[in-house]
Amino acid sequence: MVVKMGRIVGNLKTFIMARTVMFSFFIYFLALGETLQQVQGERRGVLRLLIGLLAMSVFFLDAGIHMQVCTSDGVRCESVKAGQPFLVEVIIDKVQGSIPAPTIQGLDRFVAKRTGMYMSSINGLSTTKYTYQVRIDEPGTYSIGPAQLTHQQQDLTSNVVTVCVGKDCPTTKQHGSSQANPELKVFLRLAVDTDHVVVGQKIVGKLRFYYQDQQLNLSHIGLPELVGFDVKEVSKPVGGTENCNGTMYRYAQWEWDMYPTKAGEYIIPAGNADYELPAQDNQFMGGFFMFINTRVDRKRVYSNAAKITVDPLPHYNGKVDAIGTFESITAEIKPGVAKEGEGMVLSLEIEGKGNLQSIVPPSLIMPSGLKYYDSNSAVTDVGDGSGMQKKRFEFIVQGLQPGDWQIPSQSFTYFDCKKHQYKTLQSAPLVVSIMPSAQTYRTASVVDSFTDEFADVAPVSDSESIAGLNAAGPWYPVSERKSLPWWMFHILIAMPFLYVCYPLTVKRFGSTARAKKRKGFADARKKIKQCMPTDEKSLYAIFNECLAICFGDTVADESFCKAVESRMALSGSSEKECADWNDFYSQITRAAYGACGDGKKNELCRMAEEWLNRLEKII
Amino acid sequence: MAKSLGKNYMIIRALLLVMVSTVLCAGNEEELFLRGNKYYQQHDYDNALISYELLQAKGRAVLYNMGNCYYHKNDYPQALAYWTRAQSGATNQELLTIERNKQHILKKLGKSVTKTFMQKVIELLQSTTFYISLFCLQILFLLCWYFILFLACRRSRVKKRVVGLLCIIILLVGATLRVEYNKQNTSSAIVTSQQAFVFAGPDKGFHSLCPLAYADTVVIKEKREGWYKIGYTGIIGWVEAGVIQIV
Repeated sequence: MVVKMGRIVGNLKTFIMARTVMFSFFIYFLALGETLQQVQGERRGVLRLLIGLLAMSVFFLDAGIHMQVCTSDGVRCESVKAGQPFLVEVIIDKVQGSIPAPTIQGLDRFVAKRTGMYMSSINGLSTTKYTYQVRIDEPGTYSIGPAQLTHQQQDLTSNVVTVCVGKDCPTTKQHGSSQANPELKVFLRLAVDTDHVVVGQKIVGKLRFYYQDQQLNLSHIGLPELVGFDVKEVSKPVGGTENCNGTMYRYAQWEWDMYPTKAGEYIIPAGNADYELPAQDNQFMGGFFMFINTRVDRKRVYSNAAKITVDPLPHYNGKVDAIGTFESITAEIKPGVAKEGEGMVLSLEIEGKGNLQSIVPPSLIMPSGLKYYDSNSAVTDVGDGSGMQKKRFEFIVQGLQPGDWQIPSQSFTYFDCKKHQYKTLQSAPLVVSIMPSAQTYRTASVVDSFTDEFADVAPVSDSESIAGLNAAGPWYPVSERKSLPWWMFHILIAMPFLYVCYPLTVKRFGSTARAKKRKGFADARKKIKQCMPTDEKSLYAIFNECLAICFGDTVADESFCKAVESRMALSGSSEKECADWNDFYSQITRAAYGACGDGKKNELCRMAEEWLNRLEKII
Repeated sequence: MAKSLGKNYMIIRALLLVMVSTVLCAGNEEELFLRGNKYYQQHDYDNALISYELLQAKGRAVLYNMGNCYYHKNDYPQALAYWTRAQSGATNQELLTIERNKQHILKKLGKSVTKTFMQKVIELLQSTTFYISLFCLQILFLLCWYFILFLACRRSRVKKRVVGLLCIIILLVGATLRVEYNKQNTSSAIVTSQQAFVFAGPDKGFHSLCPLAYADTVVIKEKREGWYKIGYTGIIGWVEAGVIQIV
């Protein structure tokens, strides 16, 4: 109660204030009129009339409501295309405070939704604009309004607008861009392949965006809302060119399949496309705005609407699988022979034109020994350019009992759209053989004592006194037992002999002392060659080293000469040879510890080589 | 990123295709086998043989069943050949069945079916070691062999008993390996012609050494154009390729 009273008082206060302001204006004009009394003659009468009019207008200045129809670009208009959305704007002027949305009479007859509210306020007086997006699908002339609302105990009523809804024109000239190329044309066209169908019949919808300017950038395509249709996937855009009214256009086209779900008349509303056009460069600061991405004009264009009449299907006593024109139904099962419990794949292919996507897997008629499960399905194009499609259903069929089973022909009933009658296609019957499983064979083998592992379904006669069929064994090759390569196996067997034979071999062929001797002489020979012809001092050391290897620890270093002499004597060398050896040994000793003539250096090295060869044989 | 995803998608699709085609092929092969079995059960041995022949890779069950088909067609050498092939990798039970079938044929042909002691021992060894892989037998043999040598070097007290045991193992395993080795390295054939001769050389111009008995087994030594060098009852000679069926 208090709130209500407060509201009434508030409203009264606002009312009084508004009237006070107006009255003060009136007084001011009266005062102005008094001053004008000084103006003489005919002009005084004219002025008095003006002042009177002003005073009257001030007195009657009050809150107002106005309604208008605009295109989606905000341009006022009186006629629109059927199915194309347009805007109804309700503007409420010179009101104080917020105001509720108005009620527009007659708007509920159309597809409408409130899309926005705009409010501006100056000196406490606000202007509010409510925007509604309306779509009328039927051509004709319609009245919308008035818009009504109650504000501050004041009933506001707007004007009534009249909208002329016409059928689409093929092209829509680009408007609202006087600076753009006047020749530029962009339009959107919605088309369906047929406008009279039955429930479930396939309709192909196409939305084609026509344009001429290659610089145009299509930013968004809004497909029409398809209420009452089962819509399948929209195809990817396809480009092309088309001649419309003598003008060549480029276009981008979207296509989809839709199937009406109920009978009735349907309007497919207009689709829309948003596109961008590059702005003209002749503006001042155009280069600057280039960096803040303002150099494109964004536009929207709407297509026409389409009307489709959907008839109900004629009565039929039975299940209707599809609607369209179908050529064949084929059935195939793989493999044709299977073991009990194993799965086979039954394929059912339906070929034709129609609502293939909507066809549900049919119920198969199966004999008692078989059971089936739904698997998957796929729609593919036949690929002969006729637009025919093929739907393939796959079922997993399991054999429950061994034996030969016939899968009866499967029927497929559809409504032929061309002949407007029901037709039934039938597949060929299939025969499958279910063989007993390995488990069954083994169970049977227990009963049949002879066949042991194998079991033969055929009776065993006297002439057939061999074991029966092997149905349980692997029909595919099983890999052989893996083994080490035989050559490797033989080497591995022989390997221990190497361990035993090595010492024997060494004993027989590779006496270590002999090998050392041979190595010692070879090293000595190499060193002598290295020190030829000048370095005779090393000969003594080389010989001693070599003889040390030959005699080992048994002979002292100083008695190498005698040891060699005695060996020479034992080997049958003459005294002269022994004397020569002594002479040579004393020469290399002198060369090592004393002076040696330059002429003898080379000779000494040569002799050293000779003595090495002789000693190798003797020792 | 999108490219690599697309590539991966393509690879996955290709792999799936290969897998599906492999499964389908396998399915067809098994279908042939089952179809052959069905014909066999209907005593339609010709069609059964056609179905089995169509199998790209024949397992031992297929070979055995083919042998059965030939048996019912009274083509005993072929039956023997296929049964012998089916013996490769066969289980003990399968081996016994095949042996029984073979003996049945040989009896029918009036051939001796008595087995030597060695043959019996070999059969026993084969049946005993069937479930042990050849690789394991080889490793067992080598381990025993090394262990014996090790003990021989160590001269320990327990060596006599252990060495004895190891020797027995080596003998048994070695014999089995020897049989397997022979099986892998020698090929045999069965005489399919009722009038066949062993020639001294790979030509009919050479003098004939001896006649070949129908359905007898010969050992193949060498192959030359249209001729096989065979070993048969201690005779080495040549036979035409057409008169024998390689096992």
